[in-house]
Amino acid sequence: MVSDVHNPASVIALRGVTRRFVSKSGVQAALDGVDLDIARGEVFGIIGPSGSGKSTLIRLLNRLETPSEGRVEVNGVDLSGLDARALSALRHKMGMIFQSFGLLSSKTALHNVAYALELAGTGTSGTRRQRALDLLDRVGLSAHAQKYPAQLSGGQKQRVAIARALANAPDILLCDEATSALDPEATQGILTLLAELNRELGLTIVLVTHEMEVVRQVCDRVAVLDHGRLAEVGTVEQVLFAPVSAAGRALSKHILPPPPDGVGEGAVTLTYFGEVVYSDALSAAVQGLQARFSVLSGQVSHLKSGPYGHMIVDMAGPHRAEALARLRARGVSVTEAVQ
Amino acid sequence: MIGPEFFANIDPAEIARASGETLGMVGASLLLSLALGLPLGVWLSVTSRQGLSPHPLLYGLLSFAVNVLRSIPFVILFILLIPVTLALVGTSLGVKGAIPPLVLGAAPFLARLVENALREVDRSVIEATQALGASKRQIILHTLLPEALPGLIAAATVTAIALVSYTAMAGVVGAGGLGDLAVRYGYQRFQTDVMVVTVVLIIALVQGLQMLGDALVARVSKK
Repeated sequence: MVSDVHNPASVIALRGVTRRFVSKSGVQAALDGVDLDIARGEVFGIIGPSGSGKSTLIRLLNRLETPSEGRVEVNGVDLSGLDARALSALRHKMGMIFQSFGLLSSKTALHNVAYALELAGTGTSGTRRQRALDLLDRVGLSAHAQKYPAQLSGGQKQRVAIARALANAPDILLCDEATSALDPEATQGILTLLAELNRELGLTIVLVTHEMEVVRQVCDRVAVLDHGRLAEVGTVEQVLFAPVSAAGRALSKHILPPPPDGVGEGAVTLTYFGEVVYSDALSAAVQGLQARFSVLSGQVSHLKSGPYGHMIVDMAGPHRAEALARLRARGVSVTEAVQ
Repeated sequence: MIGPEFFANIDPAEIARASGETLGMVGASLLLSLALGLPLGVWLSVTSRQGLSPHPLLYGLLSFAVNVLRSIPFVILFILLIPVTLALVGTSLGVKGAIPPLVLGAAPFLARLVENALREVDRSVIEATQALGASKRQIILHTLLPEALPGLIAAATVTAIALVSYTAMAGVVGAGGLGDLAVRYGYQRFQTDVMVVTVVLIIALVQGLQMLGDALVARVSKK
C-alpha cells in the first residue's frame, strides 16, 4: 500500500498528525498537525521541553500510540491499516529503547536478548543463544551475559536493551530519552555506540531527548517541538547556530555561551565550519593591518558533520572592514551583531 | 506446672489422622484454587482499565462476582453452598464435602491477589515487550507471569494460610481435620489439652507455610 504522499527517500513520514488525550481538565492535543519526513540512514533528533509531545511522537512510529488524525507511514506503509500480525512484523524490524530500559528482571542479560528472537520466532534455542552472545559482544557486554539486570549499572542495562532492540536486525532504532537516566560517562558511551551503529549498519535512528547536547553529538537533523507543534526542522548546525523559532533559540542557548555584558559597537559574530576551525584565519585577518581583535566569547562544537566554531569578537581599528573581508574570504560567516 | 498428666486426653493416632485431613484439605483446595484463581486473576488484570485489553463491562462483572464471594464470611459460605457441594461431590461432610466451599472461598481471594501482583509489574517492561512485537498472549505468558512470579508465590502463600483458617472453620460445620478435633473434644468435651495441641499444630502449619513461601520468593526474586 504505497500512498501518494510517500517520498522514496524518507523511511518515516508523518502527515498532519494530531494526537489528542482526554484528561480531567478536558481534551488536550499532545501533538497538533505535525508533518515530518525522516530519511533512510540519518540520525534524527526530536527535541523539546517536557510536555512538548516528543514522547508521544516517537511512540506513534511503532504504533504504541495511534494518531487521532493524520497518517504515520513507515517505508510507505500506513500504520493504521496494519493487523496484529503485520504490526508484530513491523515492530520486529523497528527496535526501540527507553529511558527506564524495560528489561525483564527475571531474565539474565543473555536471555533478555534471546527473548526478542524468541518472540519473533527465529532460530533454534542454540542459534538464538549464539546470536544473543554476538550482540552482547557488539555492545561490549560479553562478560556480563549471565548477570541479571539488577546486577548491572544503568549504562550496562541500556547496552543490553540496545542489543535486544537490534536482535531482529531492524533498520530503524527508536530511542525514547535513552540517556536521560544515565550519568555523563554512561551517556557518552551510549551516544558513541549509537553513532557507531548508525555508521556501520546504516541504521536509521530516531532519538527523542530534552538535551541539546545529545542532539549536537549524534544527530544529522533535528525537529524542535513546542506545545505539540513543530517549531522548526533543520540540520543541527541550522537549529543550533541560527534557530528561527523561539523554542529553538531557547534550546540552543543552553549550548552556546551567553554573549558578554556590555559588548562594544565593533562586536561581530563569527561562525565557521570544518577545516577553517583549525586554520589561522583569525590571526591572518589582522596581519599587517591596523586592526586588532579581542575574543569576547567563543566555542568550537564537534557536530556529527564536523567541527563548528561560534565566536563573538570585538574588532577595532582603521582597517576593521578589510580584516572582516579577509575573514569572509576564508569562509567565515561574519554577522555585524551579537547573536 | 503442666505435667504429662495434662495431656491425658491426647490420642496421637487421632491427632495424626486429623492433621493429615487438614493437610489434605489445604493441599487439594490450594491446587484447585490456583487452577481457578490464577486464570481469573489474569483475566481481571487484562480487562482492567490499565490492562492489555481494557474491557470495563467484563471487568466490572468479574470484579463484582469476586467481591460477592469475598464478602461472605466463610462459615456462612460453607452452609450456603451445601446444595452445590452435594451436587458436585455427593456429600457436604468430611474432607470431600469441604473442598468445594474451600475452593470457592479461596479462589476469588487468590484472584484479587494475582491481579495486584500483575499490576506491580513495571509498565516499561510491558511496553518494551510490546515494542518487540510480542502478541498479547506472549506478553501474558512470557513477560507478565514470569516478572510477577515472586508476587504470585507470595499470593499463593497468603491463600494457603487463609485456607488453613478456613479448614479450621469448616471443622465446626462437619468437615474433618484439626478444627473438627478442636471443636468436638477441646470445646464440647472441655478437653483443654486437645485444644492446646490442635492450636499449636495449626500455628506450626501456618508458620511453616509462611517460611516455605518466603524461601521460594527469595529464590525466584532477581530484583
